[in-house]
Amino acid sequence: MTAPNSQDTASAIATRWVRVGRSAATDAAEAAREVTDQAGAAGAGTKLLVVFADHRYDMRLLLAQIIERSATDELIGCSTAGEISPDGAGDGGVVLIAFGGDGFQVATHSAEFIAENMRDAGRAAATAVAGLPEQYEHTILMMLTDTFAGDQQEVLRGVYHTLGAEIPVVGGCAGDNLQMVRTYQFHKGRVLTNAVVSAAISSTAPFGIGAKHGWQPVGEPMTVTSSAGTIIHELDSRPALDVYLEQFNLPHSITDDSVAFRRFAMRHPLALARRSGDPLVRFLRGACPTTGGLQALAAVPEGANVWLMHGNEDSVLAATHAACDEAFAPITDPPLAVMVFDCVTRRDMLGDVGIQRELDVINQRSAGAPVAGLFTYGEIARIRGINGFHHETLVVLTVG
Amino acid sequence: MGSNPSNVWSAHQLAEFVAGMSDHRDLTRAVDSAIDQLCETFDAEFAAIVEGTRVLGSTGFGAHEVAVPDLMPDILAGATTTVDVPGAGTCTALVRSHLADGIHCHLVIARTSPNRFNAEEQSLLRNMSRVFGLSLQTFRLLSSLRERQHLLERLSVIQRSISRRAGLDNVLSSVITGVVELLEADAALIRLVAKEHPDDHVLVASHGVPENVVRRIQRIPVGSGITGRALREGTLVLGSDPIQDVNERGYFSEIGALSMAAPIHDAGNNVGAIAVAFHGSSRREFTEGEQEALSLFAEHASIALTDARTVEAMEMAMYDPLTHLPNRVLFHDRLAQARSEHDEKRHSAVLFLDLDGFKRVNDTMGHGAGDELLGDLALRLSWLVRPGDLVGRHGGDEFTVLLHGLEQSAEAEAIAQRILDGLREPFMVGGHAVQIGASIGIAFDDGDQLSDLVARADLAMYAAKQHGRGRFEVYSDQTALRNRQSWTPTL
Repeated sequence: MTAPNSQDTASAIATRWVRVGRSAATDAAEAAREVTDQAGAAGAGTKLLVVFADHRYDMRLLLAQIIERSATDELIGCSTAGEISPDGAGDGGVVLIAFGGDGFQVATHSAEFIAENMRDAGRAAATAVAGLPEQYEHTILMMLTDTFAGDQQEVLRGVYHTLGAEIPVVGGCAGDNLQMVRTYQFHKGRVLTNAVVSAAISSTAPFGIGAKHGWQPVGEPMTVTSSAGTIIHELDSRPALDVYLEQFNLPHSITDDSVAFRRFAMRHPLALARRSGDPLVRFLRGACPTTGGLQALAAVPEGANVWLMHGNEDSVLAATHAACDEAFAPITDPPLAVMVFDCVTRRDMLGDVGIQRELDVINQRSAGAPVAGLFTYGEIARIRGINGFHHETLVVLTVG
Repeated sequence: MGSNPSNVWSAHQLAEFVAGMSDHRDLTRAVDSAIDQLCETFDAEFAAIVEGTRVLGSTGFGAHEVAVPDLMPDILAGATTTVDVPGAGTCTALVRSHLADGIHCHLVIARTSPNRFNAEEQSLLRNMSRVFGLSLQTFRLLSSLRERQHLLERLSVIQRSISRRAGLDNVLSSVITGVVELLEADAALIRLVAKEHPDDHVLVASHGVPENVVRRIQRIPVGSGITGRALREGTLVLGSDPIQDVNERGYFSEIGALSMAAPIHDAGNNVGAIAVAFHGSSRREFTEGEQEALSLFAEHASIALTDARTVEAMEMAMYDPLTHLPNRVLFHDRLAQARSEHDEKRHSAVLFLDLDGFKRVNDTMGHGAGDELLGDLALRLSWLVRPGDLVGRHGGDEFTVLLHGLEQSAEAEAIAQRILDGLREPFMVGGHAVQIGASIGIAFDDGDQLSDLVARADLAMYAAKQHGRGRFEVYSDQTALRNRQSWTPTL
């Protein structure tokens, strides 16, 4: 699966490379050997390793072996709800994306126990940029975080306070194959949870970021009349769960089966109104029949104006095109690689065939450059302004 | 999103802003939250909150944040309507201010969007500035209440140490510590008029003043320095006026200090002052609250001083001024106290001691020599008894000793003998060696009246004198009988 860039020649830009390795081996050592070999991670000039792995691996062994077999220990990564590689979408495997060459500068950072103060965690993650040995013309912050720690937009606020408008931010929330129990973040050889890991990547060539969701509003806008953090108690002064079930003609009994409810809720998220008119999608994680509340994966403030949303394959795939348009706009030449942070709910809605169609769209645009990434529990793309945390969204990063 | 009437949008955004502000208990977090919400609500690249001319917080400039304060004056004055946000380019700025209730705050936002801020957005920002202004007022009120609470806590520590009679030095130290911590002062000191030299003003407590400076400014003439001014004027003074004393001024100007001082008084007279100093030039003035706090600390130092001097006066009344030993009244009190702590397995005894040959010293060498001898003798007596035993002056050349915790009567006799032996050593009075002796009576406490105990020791002492002086006698009923039969004055 080694994909050495064909432009490995003289100019500064051409001395940069991104190579991808993928393994389905369940043995951590074997998987590490396969991905490092394929990505050529042992080669001189390797600057950064980005690892996306199924949550069932012996993570410490996996990371130790990858680092052992690579020319650098600068590594970030996370567990997934499925991996994306040039082979397509898969589960139970490992993807390694190696960045190398003189045209890249890299620094990594991690912050733990982020649930205690998400904003400070964001500020800590942003310090990776200050750690860059040298800053080239184009710099981004890649960030992987734990969705269960709390309101991820708080992390983005902290990042924005530290980095300002100058540095775009991209990444996503780790997954655990929809077990919804625990996710892991990786930094160097360490396996963390309740953490955010970040890599500042500076390059002599531009990056492009696109983020789109493709969901459509249904029904009338409503006001969140009572909420606390991620729990929505009331919509328009009525129990939020009642409003939700009525909107979609669902029986109350659906809440008895939390898996069935979550599966439905994935396809029918909530959206928060924004000035730009482009709403922020919020995934609903569960319902509480006794209190009549709904639980979102990020905070929904009291007083907010919200809609319920639904989607279909066409609208979701239209968003794939739009996200690619946005991500490819800043780069003139074909990219070195394309990274994808794709919400697990889109995978669920599109199914295996639909997801392959989505990846075909991206592969077509990437013109032979490797496409790799993961299915996430929340996506990060701060392109302009402070808002950067998304749900049920496809984020595409082009490495120009 | 066609069903998003704009006035509904702004009402909801304002509601979110109000909810966001009420979530926070400290100002820093509230400012952070407000600037984040401004950016999110208006899709802005930059947001700042300014109070007066001070930037309380901003976001969007990242590593270039230090440049923000310099940009604000032109934006607030309306001289410019754009901000160049690093990484985002030229952004259109909008400012709305809340200028009421003593709060002058400005909310500033800027965004790249080419669209001008519409009327609804301008109105929303104005309303948000009002909400923020009111929140700021609430925070200021809360913080002033917290400061007041803090002051009360400090003062109660001092009050407790006064009521516990912790000693004047300790109380003044806790005043100094309290004032330094509450006002976050760099240095503080207390001066009092020297008792023995009323023209001098002595440093009695200090904090943050280097050791070498303490030595230099230990004693200054009354009326000099900022403490001297407070003492002279009897009111709180600020150090912006010239400071007379070269040493104190020298020190305070060394640390670039701004200072203030408040007088300390005792029984209606100004007898000292407490001063605080702040390094550098960051402070321009003292708030009324700070001045009030210093006056309160000075008042507490005054109470401590008055209390200490009252205690001193009380003690003067209880102690013999010549020998500094407890007088008859205090000795009786202590005797009563000892009996209340009585341990059944142990005994107490009183020694009654009368000097032999003292009248001769007084007659031949004068009363001055007699006083000198009594002073020296009191000191020697204190060395001859055990630690914890109490020596008192009964009157004239008579002394009493209370012995506690005796396991057997022989212990009292041994102590009496040690006293007799010790007093046989000559005293140096007026350059001459003087030899005197003593007779001692011992009475053991058998639970009778306390006054009887001393009286019985007195009877035993007379018996000792009768039996040849320079010796001790233990009281017994026989002693009483003998004395009744043959009592004659011996001196």
